[in-house]
Parts: sequence; structure tokens; C-alpha cells
Amino acid sequence: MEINEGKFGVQEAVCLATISMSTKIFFTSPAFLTNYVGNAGWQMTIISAIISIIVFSFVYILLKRFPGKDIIQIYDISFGRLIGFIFSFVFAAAFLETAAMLLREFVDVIKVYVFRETPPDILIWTVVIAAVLSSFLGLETLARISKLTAYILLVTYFILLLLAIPQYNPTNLFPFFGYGIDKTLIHGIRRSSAYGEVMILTVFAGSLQGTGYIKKAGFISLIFSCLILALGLLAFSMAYPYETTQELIAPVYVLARGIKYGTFFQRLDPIFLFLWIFASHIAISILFYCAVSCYSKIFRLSDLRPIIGPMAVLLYTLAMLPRDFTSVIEGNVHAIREYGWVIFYVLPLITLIVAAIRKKKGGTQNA
Amino acid sequence: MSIFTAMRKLFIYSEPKIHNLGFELLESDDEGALQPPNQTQANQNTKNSGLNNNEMSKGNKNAIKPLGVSEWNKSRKGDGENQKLNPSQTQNQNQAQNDTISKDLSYSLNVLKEKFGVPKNEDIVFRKFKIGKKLDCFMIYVEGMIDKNSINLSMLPTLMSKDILEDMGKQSPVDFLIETVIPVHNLKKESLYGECIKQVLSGASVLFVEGCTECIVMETRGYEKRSVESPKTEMVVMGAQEAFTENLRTNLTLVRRILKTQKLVTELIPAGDINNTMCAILYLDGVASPRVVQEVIKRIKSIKTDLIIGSGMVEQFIEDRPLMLFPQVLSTERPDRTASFIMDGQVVIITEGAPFSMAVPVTFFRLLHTSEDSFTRWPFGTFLRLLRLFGLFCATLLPGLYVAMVMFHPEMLPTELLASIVKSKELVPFPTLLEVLIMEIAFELIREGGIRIPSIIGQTLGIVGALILGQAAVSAGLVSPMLVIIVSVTALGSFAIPNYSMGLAIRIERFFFIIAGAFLGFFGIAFVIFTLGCITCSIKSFGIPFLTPVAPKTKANPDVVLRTPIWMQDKRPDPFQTANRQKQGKNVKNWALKEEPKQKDDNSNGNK
Repeated sequence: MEINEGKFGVQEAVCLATISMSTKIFFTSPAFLTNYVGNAGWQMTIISAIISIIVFSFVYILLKRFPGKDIIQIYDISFGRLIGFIFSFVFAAAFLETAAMLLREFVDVIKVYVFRETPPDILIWTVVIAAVLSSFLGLETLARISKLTAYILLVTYFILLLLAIPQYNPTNLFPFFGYGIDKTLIHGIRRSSAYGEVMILTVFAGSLQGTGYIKKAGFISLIFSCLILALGLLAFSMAYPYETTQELIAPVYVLARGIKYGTFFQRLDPIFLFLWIFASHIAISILFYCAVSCYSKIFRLSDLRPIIGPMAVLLYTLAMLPRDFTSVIEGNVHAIREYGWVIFYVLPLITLIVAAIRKKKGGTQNA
Repeated sequence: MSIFTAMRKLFIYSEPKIHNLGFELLESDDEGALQPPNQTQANQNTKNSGLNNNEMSKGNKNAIKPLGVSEWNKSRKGDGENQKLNPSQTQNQNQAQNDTISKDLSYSLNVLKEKFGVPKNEDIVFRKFKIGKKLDCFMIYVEGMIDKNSINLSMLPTLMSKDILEDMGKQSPVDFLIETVIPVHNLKKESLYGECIKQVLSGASVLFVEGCTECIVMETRGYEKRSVESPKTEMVVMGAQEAFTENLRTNLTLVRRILKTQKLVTELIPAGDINNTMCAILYLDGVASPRVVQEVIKRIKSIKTDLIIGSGMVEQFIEDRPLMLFPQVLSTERPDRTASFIMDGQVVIITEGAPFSMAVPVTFFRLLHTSEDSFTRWPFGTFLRLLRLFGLFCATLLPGLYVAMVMFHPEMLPTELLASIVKSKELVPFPTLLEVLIMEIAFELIREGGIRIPSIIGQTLGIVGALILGQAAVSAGLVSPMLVIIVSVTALGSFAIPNYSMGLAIRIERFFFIIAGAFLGFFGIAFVIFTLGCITCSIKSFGIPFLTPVAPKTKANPDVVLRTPIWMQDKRPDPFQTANRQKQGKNVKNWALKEEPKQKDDNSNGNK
């Protein structure tokens, strides 16, 4: 018996995927990629988005071969039970690890800027509880909360970028191509896994009304995320010289902190804290639910609720594993951003090739 | 024991329960169709399900009773016929026979006296007399529930006049009386004692005639009731000033007076096993979703309780998620608003005994609308709605944000403001959390006291309130002046919430935000908003997600948060799955379009 995850529309799917992909703008990624490409980070992310769009086109072809089936079922059909199980398990583990690292990164960053004396356990458990609750309430609920908050998040984000205009200095954009076009291109391709979260749509394929809707949701969410990330990176590049950006743990927060219009409208960072926290809560919950959903589908469980508790403990454990903030940034997060594409992009591409060779296709179109 | 069970449930997995709460109003083929298919079948099913419920609720009433000698003889005669019927049918037949009105008038009198517990029960009146001074009969009614004038001055003199039976011939007395004698506007025949008893208890008077197996139920209701007054909880400046009363008939009339259409259907269903409170279900045939109508009927019929007093109790029995804070039905005391709900394709329930109607399904955004929004022009309506949204924000978050800001994020306050807050808090002995909680609880007490207090001593409450929340508390150094302002603005915000149940939910949620703000600052508040948001997203009201048309996105008139011009609102809300989506035609300066050809005609005539 399959899990009934409910149905949702393209708009909800776009919100789910966009929030999961764009949240990383609030954390250490902008600073990290400035190390590689200088002030051409916004160009690099556009290249990554283009690569992701190309890969997603192939993933769409794969999904089209199996209408109504999710990626876990497609792995099973294409490879058989054993290899399908390995592929699916790796996929589920990747989602859980991404959720855990996002959680740890979020908690560490928020601890640096806001809650210096609060034990990280409390912050981590709070987010884990939110993820557990939303997962218990189901995918439809997650999709709806994403949709509901998406407008607010988007408007607040752009208000922040607009309010920071006095901080922008266009001369900071030069040298225009950063450390060189070749480096931008190479790192753009390597870090295309920054958009790897778009693959959540393949896990929830059964909940969308058809393969055409997945294509629409995937491309729109990739374009939106690219715009959000590129505009953010462009703003940071203009606001600070790239040597400074490399040192900032959370450039968005620093940008918000620098807003000052007279003596009254100043230090608005705590207001934008809401933007940050909401986006992180939703992104972590979605990735966590994705891991739970994949795991349940691998073992063909009819109810995913019993998995949520143990998986929450795993999420907490994985988040607590890195020794310190430096190992989070330079170890785990770096690994996910640099090599995540192997799991999120290469596995589906291999599946497409194998399915084409073995002439596997089929499935039912959703009503 | 209960703790042990709870602990066990925590650790042991149980399969998800399958129950009817999973009703979902999803897209279907009949959507948009004027004539919903399978309605008759659905009706049939409901009737059957209702029968089953009744049978279940009756329990042992259907058990086989010992027969009397005469009954045994009768049953022996009919043995041959009965052999063909199954036992349950035979049982039902026996029961029906026992309940059938007897030709023997004295037998009927004894049966009814026994059933009503007379003479112990003193307000049941049995009035014996002779029709036309010849035919024995008796009338039964409840003292105080009938219109005495119509019985004393109209019915009894007519029935007791001498020559009244001269033209009867061979016609049945009951039919003759109904057709030619009794001067009552609404009459009907009944053949079962049970039905007669129900009618008598609801205020009708019933006439039993010698030699007839039927009686006449006469509409002579005339009990004391409150007259129609102006609304008490949903006042408007522009618009109708009528509100519902406790009387069901009056309420139905008020709605019918607005919706003058034969498509308006009123189904009456009794709820409450003992008090049989009537629930009227109103909907527009061909507009309301038949599935919602059936679901409402099913839920009301499945109520198993002795007593139903008013719509509030019915609401608690039929709502989808009883553990949630937000109301899942929309209560209103205004007939005009009720009519607009019906026109939008919602189903309205009016219960006897309460001056409120309930509309289902309902969405979150509808709970923030008032009838004033529609009565005023769109810029004013939009302004009022935005003001109300700001009120909602203040009522929910303001104290929590204040606590979080003072305790965790003072850096965001401008230096002057921070200095004045710190200065005002210097003499206050309580920590911020305690200070806010004391003030909020004091305010809630004043509000609750204000509702319960007799109006004669109402002024006292105002003085006490001013002392607690006002200058006296500040002078005593118990609270800071800033907090008094915060609590006052919060109170004003909560008064702006138009729905009372929604207002109560917000009042409770406010405390969650205060505590979360005190423990984790803005992070805590964001956490509570996220969790409450998730829970709210998961609520459904009669199969419709609570946050439609925003999450999930559905087609809707531009009348969700902002109130756009009335001519733009041409569709019924999509989530209600109405059979007829179109609410109005194109009304953009229609008068100008019509006048153009007329002007041309006039010109041409003038030329001639």
C-alpha cells in the first residue's frame, strides 16, 4: 500500500522548491564562494542555475517515461530491487544530511549573531520539533505553509535589498569577472548542487497532478531561486569589497544590520531575523520530510508517522556531529555544495540511460 | 490508569483510524453543473443512514415485546402472510400497529394521558367536547405554547356550533373538518401517536375524533418570544439593523424575506434525543454543493446527545477538528449576512433556541470579513479590512514582540526609545514576562467581568478597570507606562476582530507568543508562528482547507484580503464547489451600454 501524501498544485510546488533552494543565501555560502570567484558570485550562481535547468530537463524526460511514479519507484523499476534500493537509500541519506547541515549551519550562524549564550541544543531541538510537527501534519500542510509564507518572505527579502541601497557601491563590482571567467565557469558547474534541492519535486512526483506540472514547477522554481540568489549575491558584491565578504558569516544579516535611515529606522536586523528563521524552518522541514518520505517508500511502508520520531533523533545526531563551526563550513557544507550533484544529478541521469537501454517505462498518469 | 494508557499510546504504534472526519471536498464531475447527479441516490443513502442511526440510538426499543391475547389472536390470523416477511419487518409492523391511532376515542385519550404522565404532568391540556353537539372529540395542547385567542375565539365556537355536521354525508369526519370547518391556515393529518406527541410538544394543537384512525394537527403556535431587535455583537453603521431571535420560525422568515427565491431549501432535522431541538438547514438548490449538504445532514443526524440548546452545541458536535483553536463554522446573528452566505453556496444551519446561524464550510479569511465591508464602497471596505488585519496583528503579536524586544533584542530600539523604556521600568519590581502576564490576565478578567456583570453596577467595573490598567497601577510602580500602552493597543486590536470565536482563539494564542518571546525572543515567536501556521494549514472545514483561497491557491473573487469593487466579484468562491459558479453578469457601467442605442433611436426620431 502506498503512502497517501495528498495533492498540491504547481504554485505550492514552486514555493516548496524555491524556499528549499534559496535559503542558503542567508548562511555561509555567499562568503565561501567569494573565496573561489571573487565578486563574480552572482555570475557563478547563474551558471549553476543553467546547469541545473539542463539536468532537470533530463530528469523530466526520465519522469515522463514513468508518469505518476516518483523517483524511488523509478529507481526500483529501472534497476531492480537491490540497486534501486541502494540508489534510493543514498538519495534519502543525502536529503537527511542536507537537512542536518542546514540545521547546524543555521543554528551556528544564529548563535554567532543573536543568541550568544543560548545552548545550541535548545535551538536545534526547537527546529527539530517544528520539522517533526510539520511532517506529522503531512506534505499538503508543508506545501500550504510554504505557499502562505512565500509571498511574505519574497517581499521582505526584496525590501531588505532595497533598503540597503545606500550601502551599495557599484565600483565594488569591479573587476567584473572576479578571479576570471574560467574560474567562474568551473566553480559554477561544480557548485550546481546548490540547486540540488529541486530534486524534492521528483520525490513528490505522485502528489502533483501530472508530469507536465513537475516540469513547470521545476523550471519556474529554478528560475526564481536563481533570481533570488543572484540578486542577493549582486547586492553583497556591491555592498562590500570581496575581501570583506569572504569574512562575513551571514552577509544578509550584516546587510540588514547596516540599514540606517535617521535615528529611528536603524538596526532592523531583528525584524529580518523572522525572514531568516521562517525560511530555514520551512527548508529544514521540507528536506526532513523528503528523507522520511524516501525512507518510507524504499521499505514500502503504508504510514510514515512511525519513522518520523527515529528520523528526528538521526537529524539531531547528524546536526551535532561536526566538532565546531569551522568543520561545519569547511567540511560538511562544502562537501554537500561541491559534490552533492553526484547524488542529486548523476544518479537520475544514470537511471535515465539505464531505463532507455533496458527499455523500461510505464506507470499511470495521475488524475 | 489514564496516565498509563497515555504512556502506552506514546510508545506503541497504532494504525491510523479510519473515520468520517476525512471528508474532503475535492474537484469532481458535478462541479459547475447546474443539476447535481446522483442527488436522489445520495438522499436515499442519507435516509438509510439516518434510519440506521435512529435504530442504533433506540437500542432496546426494537426488542420483541410480549404480546397480549388479542394481539396474539390477530397475529395467528395473519400467520400465513407474515411467514413471507422477515422477522425485522414483522417487528416494525407490530411497532407501527401499536403506535397507530385507535378508532376508540377513550383508548386514545388513555394512551396519550399515559404517555404525557397526566395527571402528574399539569401543563398538558385535554379539552373534551362534541363537534356539532354530536361527535365526541378531544383536543390536546400544551398550556402556554398555543395561541389562546385562536382556540377560544375561532376554533372552539366553530367546532361546537350546532349545524356544523349537517353537510358531512358519508365523508370521513377528519377530512370533512379539514376541508370545510376548521378555520386554521395550516393543518395536516397524522396517524401515529408518536408524531402527534412531537407536534403537541412543539406547540401545535391536535384534534382526535371518535371513530377516526387519524387526527388533525393544527398550527396554533403562539408562545412568548422575543421580538426582532438590532444586532448586539455585529453592529454596522450602514446596513440592516435586524438580528435573529431565539425563535426558529422567525429566523427562517427573516432569511426568506431577503432571499425571495423558490430555490431556497429549508430542511428541518431534529437534534437531541430528548429535547428534539429543530435544526434548519438552509441552502440554495442548484448552487450549494450537494455533497456538503449531505455531509451537514449526516453530521447533524449522527449527534447522539440528550440535550441540544442552541447553535454553539451543534457546532461542537459537527466541526472537523474539535481540538483546534480556530472556529470551523462561521456564526452570525445577522439575517442579511446569512443570506449572502447562502448565495455564495454555503450551507447555513439555524438551530432553535439561539439567535445565531452557522455557515459551513468556512475559511480563515471569511472570519475577518463583516457585512459592513459589502455595504460601503470598495475603498472604505478595503481600508476597514486592512485596519482589521492590523488589529489582528496587534492582538496576536504585540505583547509577545514587546517581551522579545525588551528581553532579547534591545539593539533594534532607537536609543531614545530604549532609554525611556529602561527609565520607566526602573521602579517596576517585576520581570518583564511577569509584568506582561499580570497586565494581560488583569485585562482578561476585566473583559470577562464586563460581560457577566449586571448592567446596574457596570460603571463600577469601569472604575476598577481604570485603576488596574491605568494611572493608579503606574503610580504605584507596579507596571511601566509603556506596558499600559501596549496592553491597551492589544485590547483595541482584539476588539477589531469581527468574529467572537476567532477573537477568543487569538486571545489564547497571545499567551503562547508572550511565553515564546520570553524564552527565545524573535526566534521563539517565529517558531510559534510556524507551528501554529502548520496546524492552521492542516485544518479543514467540511472538506475545505481552512486557508483557501491562498494556501492552497484556488480561484476566488478579489475579495479575500482587499475588498475590490463589487462589479469585479462575479464568481462564487471556487473551494465551495458550487454547481453554479457565476454570481453576476458584467456590471461595468451597464447603464451606459444600454442607453447608447436608445440615444441613437432618439436622434433618428428627432431627425425625422
